[in-house]
Amino acid sequence: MHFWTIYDRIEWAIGLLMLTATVVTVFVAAVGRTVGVPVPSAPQFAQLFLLWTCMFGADLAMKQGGHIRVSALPDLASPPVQTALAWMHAVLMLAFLAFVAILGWDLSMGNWQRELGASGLSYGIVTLAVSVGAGLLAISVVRRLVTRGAAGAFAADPDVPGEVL
Amino acid sequence: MISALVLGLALLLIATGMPVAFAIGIAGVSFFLLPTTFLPDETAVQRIVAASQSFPLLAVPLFILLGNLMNAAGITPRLVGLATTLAGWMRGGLAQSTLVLSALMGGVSGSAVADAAMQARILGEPMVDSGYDRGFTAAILAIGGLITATLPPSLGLILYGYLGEVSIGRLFIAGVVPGFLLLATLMAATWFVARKDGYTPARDGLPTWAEVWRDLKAGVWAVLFPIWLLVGIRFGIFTPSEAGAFAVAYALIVGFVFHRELTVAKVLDALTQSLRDIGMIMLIILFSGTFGYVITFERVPQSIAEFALTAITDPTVLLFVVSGFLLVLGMLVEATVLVMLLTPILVPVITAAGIDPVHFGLVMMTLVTFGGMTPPVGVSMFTVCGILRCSYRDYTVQMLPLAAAVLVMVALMILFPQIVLFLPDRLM
Repeated sequence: MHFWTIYDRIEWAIGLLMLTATVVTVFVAAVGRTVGVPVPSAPQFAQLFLLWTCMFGADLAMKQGGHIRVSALPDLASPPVQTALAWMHAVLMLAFLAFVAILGWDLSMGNWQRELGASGLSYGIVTLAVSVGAGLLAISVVRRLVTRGAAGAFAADPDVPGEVL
Repeated sequence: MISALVLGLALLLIATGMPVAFAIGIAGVSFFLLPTTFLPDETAVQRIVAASQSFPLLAVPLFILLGNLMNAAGITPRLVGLATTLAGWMRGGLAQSTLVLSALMGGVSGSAVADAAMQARILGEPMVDSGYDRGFTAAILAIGGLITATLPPSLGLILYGYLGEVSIGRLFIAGVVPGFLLLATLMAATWFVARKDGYTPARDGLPTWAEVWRDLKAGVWAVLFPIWLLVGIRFGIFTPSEAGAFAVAYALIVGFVFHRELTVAKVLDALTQSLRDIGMIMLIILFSGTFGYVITFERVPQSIAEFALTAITDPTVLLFVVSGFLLVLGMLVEATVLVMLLTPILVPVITAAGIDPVHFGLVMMTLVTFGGMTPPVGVSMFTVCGILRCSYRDYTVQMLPLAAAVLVMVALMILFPQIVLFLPDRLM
């Protein structure tokens, strides 16, 4: 199988697993509190899984051009201007993601010993999500640039609404 | 001054078409990179992590998943029967039924776009075949989503409550009366359109009790859901986030056991779609962690509040002015973006003016969600017109009476705060 197909499948599976884990831990927290046997570590696990879910979900959205953007003005511009703007955005976004990935990594390694409340979880595992997520997002930005060209890199694929509310 | 530059940079990047999450993130980080900033750079990343470490925030992913699961569980076709029985006898019966359907869906879904898309796929072509104008069909299906988004659980109100630190339980209960009044005003507007354009009822005569009972039984699990949701939150049995987890379990049981329509493949689809939607919304929330820190650090809301409150002293006038801005911005910018950017700034301002943030939340969310249904930029309009292959021009002409009804409703909410606050003040 193609490398990127396997890569996408694995990422998708981890993302789904994280989302499922978020739901299950909130459910355990809720049931525990309702029946009078609170599980103090469950909310902390839920927030850990939530952050990982968000980063994997954000990358899935990036691969489909699903991140919300306000395209009314650039759509009025001429194609060369649109391409130039998209290149500028891509460069700024990649620099930003590198900044977040590197500082997130430092923060994560520096806080590995620090424990999160009742759960005994390392604060480093939480922070690591941001660093890993930024890395995944950067890879997807480059992939979109290569496959769609600059002008179409951040535009939504068909059937991706680009809005939730 | 510096905060004005940071805000200006964010707006410039958004206006030139950069994905909003990144525009906000880059603007926020730029503050930390300035030579005049003495905060360590790590704080920027720390704020992104901190934005996610909130139990109330878990309501957002859970209710997104709930909406997608409920759709996959076969709720919509079951509620179509009930809606047609309840409203089909009126003038313009099919159109009235779609509005009632939006209200019924409002109890399980919190997204206007999802509701409009779902209804357009199921009911759009049948309505056109029965003689309804294509533009009017698209308009009523899109704007009906506003009822879905106002009745609890509402995704917009969850976001507003989280960002503005307002009780989500109170917001949910406050949405009940405006949601039903919105249903009534839109049905009245539809009645006028139906009389003018000669749309007929979809069935002869009033429904019998036996027919209502038959269709109610088919949709009972969806109809019961918002009731136990509100009762549970009201009596403190669960918080909104916990309710989200119970609700997901409920949707799975209903879909697998009672409706027998949910399959593992459909659940995986719902999870995948939710994962993408969650990533999209939450990345903005996370990256605005840095931005929000700068805004608070620089005391922007306080400065705006001081300025606004010296210029306008009457709360009602202030609400009308802010609403005018929200209406115009809503026509141009996606609802999610406005909620994320403006809630943290506006809530302190209107609270300082003596306005209840729950009252303002309903007014604000109605207006910015409605903005998604209007030209020139409206995701609900794009989605529905795309599915029904209808021109934006026809849509715009046909939506005018419905838009007038929505604006009258918002004006009433501003003039009579009790419409919104009556229930939460009584119950909570």
